Amino acid sequence: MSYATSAANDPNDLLDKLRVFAQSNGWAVDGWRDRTVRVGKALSVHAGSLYATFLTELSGGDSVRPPPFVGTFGHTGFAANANADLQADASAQVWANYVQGPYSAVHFFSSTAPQPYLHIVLETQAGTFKHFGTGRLVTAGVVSTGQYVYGSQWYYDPSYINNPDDVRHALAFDDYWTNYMSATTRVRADFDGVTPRWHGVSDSAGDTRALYCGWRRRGAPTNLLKDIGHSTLTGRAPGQPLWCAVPRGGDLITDIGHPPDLRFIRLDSYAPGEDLVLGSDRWKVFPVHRKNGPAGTPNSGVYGYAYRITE
Amino acid sequence: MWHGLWPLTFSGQGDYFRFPPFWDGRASGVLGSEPTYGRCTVEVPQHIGDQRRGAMQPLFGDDFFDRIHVEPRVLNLGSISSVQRRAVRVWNAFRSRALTLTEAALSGGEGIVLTAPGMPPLPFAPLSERTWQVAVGTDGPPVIGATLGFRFDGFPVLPVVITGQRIVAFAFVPDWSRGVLERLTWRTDILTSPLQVEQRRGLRSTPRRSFEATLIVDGRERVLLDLAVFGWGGRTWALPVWPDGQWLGAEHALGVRVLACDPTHRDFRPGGLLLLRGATAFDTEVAEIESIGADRVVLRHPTTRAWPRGTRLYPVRTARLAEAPKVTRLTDRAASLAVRFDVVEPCDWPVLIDAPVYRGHPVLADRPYESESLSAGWQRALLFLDNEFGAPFVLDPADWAAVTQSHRWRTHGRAERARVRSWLYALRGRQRAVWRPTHADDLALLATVAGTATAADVANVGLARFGGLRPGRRDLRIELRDGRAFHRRITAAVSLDEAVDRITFNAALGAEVRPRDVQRISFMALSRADSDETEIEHHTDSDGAADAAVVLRAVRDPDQDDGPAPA
Repeated sequence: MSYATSAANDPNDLLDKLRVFAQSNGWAVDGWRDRTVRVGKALSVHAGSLYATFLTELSGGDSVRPPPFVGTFGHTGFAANANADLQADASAQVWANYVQGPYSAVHFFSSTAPQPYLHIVLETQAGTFKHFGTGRLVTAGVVSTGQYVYGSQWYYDPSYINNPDDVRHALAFDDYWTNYMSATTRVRADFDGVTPRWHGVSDSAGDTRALYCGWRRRGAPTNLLKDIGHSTLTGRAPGQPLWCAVPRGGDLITDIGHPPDLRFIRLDSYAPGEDLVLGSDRWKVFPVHRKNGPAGTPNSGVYGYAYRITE
Repeated sequence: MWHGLWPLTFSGQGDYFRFPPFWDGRASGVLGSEPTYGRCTVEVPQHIGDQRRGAMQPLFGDDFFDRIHVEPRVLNLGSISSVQRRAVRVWNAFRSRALTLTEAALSGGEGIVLTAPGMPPLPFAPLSERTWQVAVGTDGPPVIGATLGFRFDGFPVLPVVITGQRIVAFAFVPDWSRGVLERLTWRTDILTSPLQVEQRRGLRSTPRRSFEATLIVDGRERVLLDLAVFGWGGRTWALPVWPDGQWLGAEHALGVRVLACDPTHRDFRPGGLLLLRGATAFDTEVAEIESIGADRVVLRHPTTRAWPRGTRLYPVRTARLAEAPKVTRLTDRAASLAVRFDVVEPCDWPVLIDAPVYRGHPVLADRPYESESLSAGWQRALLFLDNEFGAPFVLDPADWAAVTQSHRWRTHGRAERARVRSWLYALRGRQRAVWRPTHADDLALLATVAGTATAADVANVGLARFGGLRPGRRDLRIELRDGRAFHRRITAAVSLDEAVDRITFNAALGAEVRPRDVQRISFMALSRADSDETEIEHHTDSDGAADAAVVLRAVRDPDQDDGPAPA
């Protein structure tokens, strides 16, 4: 059973539920402890050679970046400590902000083969969702590791809260981003002899560690599906793999793969949490944050993610 | 920038142009005239020499193809009261693999007819689709739970689950000489303190609803009713909401999905059912509503027969017989039956929108219908201690009387009836409070009140002496002859002499009011209904008259700027 839905009261309870879920789905739990510097918990897990740590942070932030937070970072091996700077080859953390409990529902998606991943969808209130997780890309070309970590941070300023296309919101696997929020997608793509090589979405041109992915930027890999990814004839929408690419220098950009069992999908005709059945596959679709939220509330339009349920 | 729709990765810098630009020795267009005819040479870029490698980019094809699609996987038919036909499509989405269907079997399919496109083993060419027709009839077990399983060679069974319940239309029309009684029953849990402050919890989100009517049936219909109740008396029926009936004003051919009718203020709802009934109870059709317009109802599936003008059209609620009908035999061919149905689905109704609001609660400004006298009274929670020796000891802990008064509506037409129903839903049984004016001539204005004044002189009726500015006798509704109305709270009252009381309002009226402008000044009490059960007596269908009545009892709820409840 690689999909489970549950409920949780707060971020710490959520990590505890995640720990139980991961353990019963072939992940090994390396560490589960209170954090020492900040208030929160840390959970370190691994499947095969993919190591990740999830953190909660119950305070901090401000009105446009409200707490509590859940963070994720990837690393290699495990040292008995919760801090990213002490883990080998660690990425920077990616955060999901404002994961205020108690949650209406929590959805866990996991797999350990062919690619390991843990995808978590939080329904913080009815109709409002947060996404975070880690895993290994279905890699393209000669890329080793391909580990990714992602979160989702909305910018809760009243002027921008209702605009799904605003660059201040940091969405998972979308590179339309400027530095109002910390980046929410990081992918490790070791190539050209450099290791470790973590790429993150970037807002500076010529950044050699940039990551290109997503749909909101005009030149983004799946931008076309953002506009035409919904059939007005049948009301259906296809799920689009979230391609990731990295710069190789000299204006060359190389595709490195896409996260497994995760798609970008338009939700014009789908309700949040709806099941899509495609042959023998079941997909669950969720809004990026809140589908067509009314004015003054978070609104992620009809952008959504589809998660495959693998039995 | 590169664009994601190319299945190859390539550099964004053009490979198709030489770089840097070179001069081939010909005169440019600026310096000399170009030849306008003759041969033109185009250099074709030689990509063969481009030694870049690409990789396949997966798109959504991999999610759709190379698998078997069965649509839909769940057939939830809801409440069935006529034959329902649905198509199940099976698509071999393998791009290069032929499959063989070895079995398409129905289990638990009593009353379901399956029409297959061929007998197994059935070959499916790559990318081919076939359709199975499933027809679910009305005869069979009351709860439908069937599975249609498709088995392909080398694949697990692909099940299609068929669910629903069979209901049958109760297509008999009531005898309107006695009308139809509709009962709405909420449930409220009330905790009362000794000081008569209440905590009220509504235990039902929607009221239970029941209908009582008398039917006169004769001939074949009498026997049909007898047999229907005999055979299906315990099942759920599609009950027409009789008061909301209407006649179709136009011919409707077979197979239409749009019925021209007037659905406003009637109990139609998207996803619900409606009943078409011809001349007898044998000519009926129940259809599912997809959407509702201002002058039409769109059905989810086409009608199965033609319906002429004059066909009765009713909204439908699923209901159960509350008890066995009481039969009065009139002759050997005719009978009169008293039936009572309990609706088994939640019944919602739009909220009240046009009522004036005072201190956070709506004001019941409708004049009561006074063909029967309205009862009124005072309920006081007195504590008696009587030891049978001396005079009994009596204590009035709340020092307050809950004034009660009945309110009766007589409605004409659907809009009024819908409004009254909204009022009943606003009251939610005993849970919600509204402002109830006495609708009586309580105070008489003696002198003109300026628009900025907050004091008024009224005829002395003992307000200063007995009223005590307590809930129930401290809020006023001042109705003027021109239709305007003011709601004010009395903040002070003094007796000037035996004829005049001077009262002070919490706010100026904002308009000059002369005694002759005033139609009526009534006290208002914040009140709730005294019973969770309300009846609407439909004398005719909803274009005609109906009555509803409710007894309202004052409460000590804190209102908007009242501060906390009295301790």
